Amino acid sequence: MKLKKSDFTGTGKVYRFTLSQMMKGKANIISLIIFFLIAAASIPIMTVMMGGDKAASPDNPEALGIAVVYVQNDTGYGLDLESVPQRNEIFENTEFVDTDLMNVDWSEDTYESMLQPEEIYVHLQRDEEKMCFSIGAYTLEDKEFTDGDIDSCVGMLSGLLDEARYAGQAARAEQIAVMTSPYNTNVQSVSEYLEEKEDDFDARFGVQILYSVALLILCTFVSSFIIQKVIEEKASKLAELLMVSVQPLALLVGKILAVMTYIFGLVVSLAAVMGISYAVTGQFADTSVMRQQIAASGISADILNISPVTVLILVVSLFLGYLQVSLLSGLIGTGCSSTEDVEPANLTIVLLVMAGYIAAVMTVGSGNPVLAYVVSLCPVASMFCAPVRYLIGDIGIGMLAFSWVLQLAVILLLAYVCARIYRALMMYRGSRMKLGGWISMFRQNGAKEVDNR
Amino acid sequence: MSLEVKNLSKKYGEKTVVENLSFEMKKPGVFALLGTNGAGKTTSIRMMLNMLSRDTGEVLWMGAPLDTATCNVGYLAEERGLYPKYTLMDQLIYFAGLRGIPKAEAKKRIRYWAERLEVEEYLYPQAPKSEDEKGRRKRAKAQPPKKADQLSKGNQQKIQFMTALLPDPDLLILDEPLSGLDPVNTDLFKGIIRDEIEKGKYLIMSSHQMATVEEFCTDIIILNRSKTVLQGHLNEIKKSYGRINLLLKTETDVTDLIRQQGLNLVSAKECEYQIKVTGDEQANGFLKLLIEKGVTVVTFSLREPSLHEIFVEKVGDSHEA
Repeated sequence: MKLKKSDFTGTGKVYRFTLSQMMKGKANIISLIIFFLIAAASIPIMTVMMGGDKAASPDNPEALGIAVVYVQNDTGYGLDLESVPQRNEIFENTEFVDTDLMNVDWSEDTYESMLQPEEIYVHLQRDEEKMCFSIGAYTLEDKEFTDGDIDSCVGMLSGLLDEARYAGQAARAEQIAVMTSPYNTNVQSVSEYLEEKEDDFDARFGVQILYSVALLILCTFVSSFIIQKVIEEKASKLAELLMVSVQPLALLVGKILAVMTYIFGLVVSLAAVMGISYAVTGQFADTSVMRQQIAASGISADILNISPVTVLILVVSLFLGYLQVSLLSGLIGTGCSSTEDVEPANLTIVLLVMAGYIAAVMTVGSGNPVLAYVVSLCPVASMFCAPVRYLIGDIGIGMLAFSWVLQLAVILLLAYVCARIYRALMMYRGSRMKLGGWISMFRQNGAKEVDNR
Repeated sequence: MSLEVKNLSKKYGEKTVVENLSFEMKKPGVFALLGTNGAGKTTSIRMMLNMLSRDTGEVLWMGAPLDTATCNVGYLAEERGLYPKYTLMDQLIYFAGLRGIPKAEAKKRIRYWAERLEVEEYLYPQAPKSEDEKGRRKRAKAQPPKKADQLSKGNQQKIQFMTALLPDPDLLILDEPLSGLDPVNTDLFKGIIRDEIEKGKYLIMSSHQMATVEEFCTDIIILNRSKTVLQGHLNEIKKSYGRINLLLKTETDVTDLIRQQGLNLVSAKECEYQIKVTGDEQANGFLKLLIEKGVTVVTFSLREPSLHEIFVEKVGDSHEA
């Protein structure tokens, strides 16, 4: 049996009806509202949890939340406080005030009575006993900025002090620039050095986990939705009525596309809601802390090679993964006859997908190239592994393309099985079909039909 | 137009479920597909509509293989179902859409059939009006659209019948259309079936209700254990049996006389008798005897066998076995 164009006649109508009924379902509407509320609330909640709840400058979201820094300089070196805003734009809304120019005496004992919540008192002094300089930063308990802001201020003042000390030793500006220029550290094992590879295990593991979890959630949703939709029709005894008007394969494909639209639409809508929430939260709080947190975990645009091509790779991979899981769910769902079978049918898919997920997560840290190739090519595991392995540089574009070809072959095989036995499966009544039943039906070209004359 | 079914056969493993089923409908009318439970009626219908694969045979509509995508078929399946949680209107528009009927046209047809089948209140629920304490009329909260699981079985069956009628089919296949209906709704369905016959439609009906089949059908086929045991024009089949049912009513008891003549007395109740005779000659001879004996004959009616009797005769013995 070959796939024909006429096998898909009516797909559009099934698609529109399934999607419209999904959108009208009360349970789905309630779920959507809950999802949107969670998405909208997640950004401000995460911002607050990460300490970004202090007001940020509307012009410069990265600007510090500190309004005034009172600097008491007892080092003996003059600090060029006026130059601070020019040196780094994050200080553009922060005023640095030399306490020597004020009519009040600042000290560690008195600062609390003089500070406001958005202000900070910094005392630089020379510790003669320890033969070093010390910088103490003091704030009120109810400060309205992050600890990161304090670190930035202290870092800036220590830099100024360094420059003042070098200048005190008659160093020229160029010499000072050389001596105060920043540097990076890079710690590697010998094998990593020989492979010319950076030690980004945490980041790679993080990316694999994030992508795998996202795909796992997607697959679980998909299988559950599709199995439910297929069994709903069979349990409602609608198969015969529908099959007079529409080809069985169109019934399945229409549902698969409708569920895909619903889920991908949901994901895009949630992303949009989170984007809006991010923009709105940015008006009241410092959302940059979230970026800093992600960067701190080692995940960066550099590691993922973020580009339109990357997005395309992820979309294609998700689409292929979706089709594999949905076709399989459709087939397994159609092998069931009652709503009691939804759970075991869904469990079968979830276990299969979980196996792929575990394979992806367990092997990401091995660094073994052969293992990377195997999991990137093996069906089910490959949909979790291949795109991430490519993005983090474990496999090349050729291997990714080969993985896609194999996934496409699996999809075509499933579609072929569907075309061959789906009609008979729709008419099948009985207990949930086991593997032997599938094989027998396939061998008989779908002739294992219900004997209910 | 004509429908031709040629040598349809189906096996499940070694078990034959339909064997060489053949019939033809050259002109519009009702063709009855009869048989005991499990005789292969539904399987035959499913094969005709390409829902099941055939081992052998073909079905031709207007000389070409019957394709439900091109032939305007209406089908009321034996296994009836509706989406329980979707509104009836959504479902009907969907089913009509699958048969290629545009939404606006579908709505018109749904309105028409809702009136005919007396299900308007479920498809077009309206807010009931009531009066408040000051006697002012007020409209209550609008009723939500009805869903299938809110309907009785009979009303669900009406909606399902509607789905078969919506495409205004040339070929209407009804598998047990009247099962489970009360007498009022049975008459409602019969009226619609009669109208479809008058419109010149081709109907294939499978039923166990012989009286109904007899009322509508011109041609029949009787299946028993996958095989065709009787086939042909109903009147001709009846004629071939001859007038063998004698209904007799007298003023005095003639039971002994009937027995003496060796006639087969089927039933007797207060001088009303149902007797099996071999034909006109035997019946007339008995009438002559009654007159000679001075018996007052109130009713003497000689009839052909009913379809029920023919059916039982053809499949009864093997069915019991």
